[in-house]
Amino acid sequence: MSTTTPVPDEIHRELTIGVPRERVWAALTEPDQLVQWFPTKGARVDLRPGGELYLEWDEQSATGTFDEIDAPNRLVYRWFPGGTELPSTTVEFTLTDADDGTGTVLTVVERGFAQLRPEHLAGNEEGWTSELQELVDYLNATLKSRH
Amino acid sequence: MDDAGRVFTALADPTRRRIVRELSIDGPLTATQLAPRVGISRQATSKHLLALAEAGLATGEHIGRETRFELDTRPFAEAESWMRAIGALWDRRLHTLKAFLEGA
Repeated sequence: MSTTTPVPDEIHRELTIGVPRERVWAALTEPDQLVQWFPTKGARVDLRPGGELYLEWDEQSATGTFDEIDAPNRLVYRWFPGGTELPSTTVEFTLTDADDGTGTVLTVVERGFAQLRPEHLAGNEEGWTSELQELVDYLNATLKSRH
Repeated sequence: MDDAGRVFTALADPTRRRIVRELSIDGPLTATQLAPRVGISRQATSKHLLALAEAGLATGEHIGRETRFELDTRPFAEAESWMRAIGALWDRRLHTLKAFLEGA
């Protein structure tokens, strides 16, 4: 980002997981593992540049397109929460060895929110999970009660 | 359109992002004051300011022949709560991922 605004354009998370990078990589890229934590009902992964990531929940689905695949170091995909005709966010996973020599430091950055259109945000549209809407409602209620 | 939608629409334009940034640092400002900071004409700056005002993201106060614009921070709070919600979603996913991998 060359400019900053009152609203941040990216989400950044970092955590240490006590397993080697290869196992974290498998959890990020293998459908049967992905469904465990993302969590989704179903997942399809075409793990090659330009390949599709497809996730489905009970009543909706969303897709991504892989941009960079460097096992077990770096995985980047464009994520289309509102369908492929609308702007995407970019999700970037970076895996490095933890200092203890056995674990993995996993960094997740999702960016591009400022490019999203209101269709993404104006309610529980296709592509946004109801889980997310619940969280938004909860956070809004929390915000209001603080004022 | 809700507040978050208006905020993200307004911020989708890089010039408007710069204007919002300047207003958040130094507002209220007039189009004449803003134009050199953003590097576009006063007329173009005025147009962006009016768009921000129409979206409810800024308010204008007439001072003589000029209008001074100030950010209205309330809609930004809603957009921030969206970002926090998506962040919270990642927190939950990553917590589950860690538990899944560490066999907790």
